[in-house]
Amino acid sequence: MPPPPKHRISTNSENDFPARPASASSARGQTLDEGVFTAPGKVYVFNLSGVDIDSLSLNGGSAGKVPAWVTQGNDPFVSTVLAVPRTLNASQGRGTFFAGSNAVLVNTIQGVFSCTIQIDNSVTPMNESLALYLLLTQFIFLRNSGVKIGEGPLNTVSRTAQRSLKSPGDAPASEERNQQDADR
Amino acid sequence: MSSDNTAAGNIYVFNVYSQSMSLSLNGLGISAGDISGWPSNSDKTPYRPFGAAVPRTLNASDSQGKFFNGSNILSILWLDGLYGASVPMSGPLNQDMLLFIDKDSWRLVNQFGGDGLSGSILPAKALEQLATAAKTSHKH
Repeated sequence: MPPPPKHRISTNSENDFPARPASASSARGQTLDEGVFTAPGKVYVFNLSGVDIDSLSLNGGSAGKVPAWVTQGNDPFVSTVLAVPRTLNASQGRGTFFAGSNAVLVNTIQGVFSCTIQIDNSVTPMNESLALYLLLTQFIFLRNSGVKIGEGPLNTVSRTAQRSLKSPGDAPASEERNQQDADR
Repeated sequence: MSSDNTAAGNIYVFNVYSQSMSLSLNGLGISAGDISGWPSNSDKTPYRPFGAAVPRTLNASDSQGKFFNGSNILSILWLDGLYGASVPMSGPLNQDMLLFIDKDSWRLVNQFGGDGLSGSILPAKALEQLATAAKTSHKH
């Protein structure tokens, strides 16, 4: 059997850092750089399994879906990703990752699983993006360099606990954000 | 029976790290070459790991640069240095599996993401110390 071709997951080049965009504030003669380098990072949540994540719930608000990988085609097992904003305070934490202890619920056809993701601003500043890999039974949490800042099991949530977690009229936080963007 | 059912499967090895990885299996580099580190922030999908398909084989005698059913010796060269691990493999040869390698651990799962095995990635220095300790205890 001939050796299989190199399995490229993405065709984009590495080490392709963005050029620093012109700052509107510096164009106005201001010394403070507003918005560009102070923009908060994101947490990129990857589904490393063949099971759809129907809803990823963060601190009581839905952040969205993360489909399973596909097992057929030229690029099998390409993981899918959901980019979730980072926020500073717990009051902004519904559907986002805030600086603190984040309650994560993973809803799949196999059941509901939970874990807690700790984010420490003194270790990972707000403008740093992070990567969270969700396997079927465990999670890995990494800095943008690849250094591990957390790992652990995904715990099964009992049906009783699931009922207590659901509240009527609980709109997904991602929809709330879209609505807020539309209102602006 | 179609040939699909009898062809040997692959182990899809993913480099869950920011640095490019040079992987050797059982004494020989994989034919796919180096596996890039994940794309940077400018990419639309940063942190999505790159991977390479590595063939499975039955016997240790045919295992250089491949995964055989047994205990596979991995040598991993990152910019950070040389690392090593031992990954046990078993099961039907026509089944694809996935191996995720981050800086200090590996995870082996089936094509659904289940039946997970995991282990440590050790720096070469630690491996040398283990070997020295083993030799010392053998002498005693």
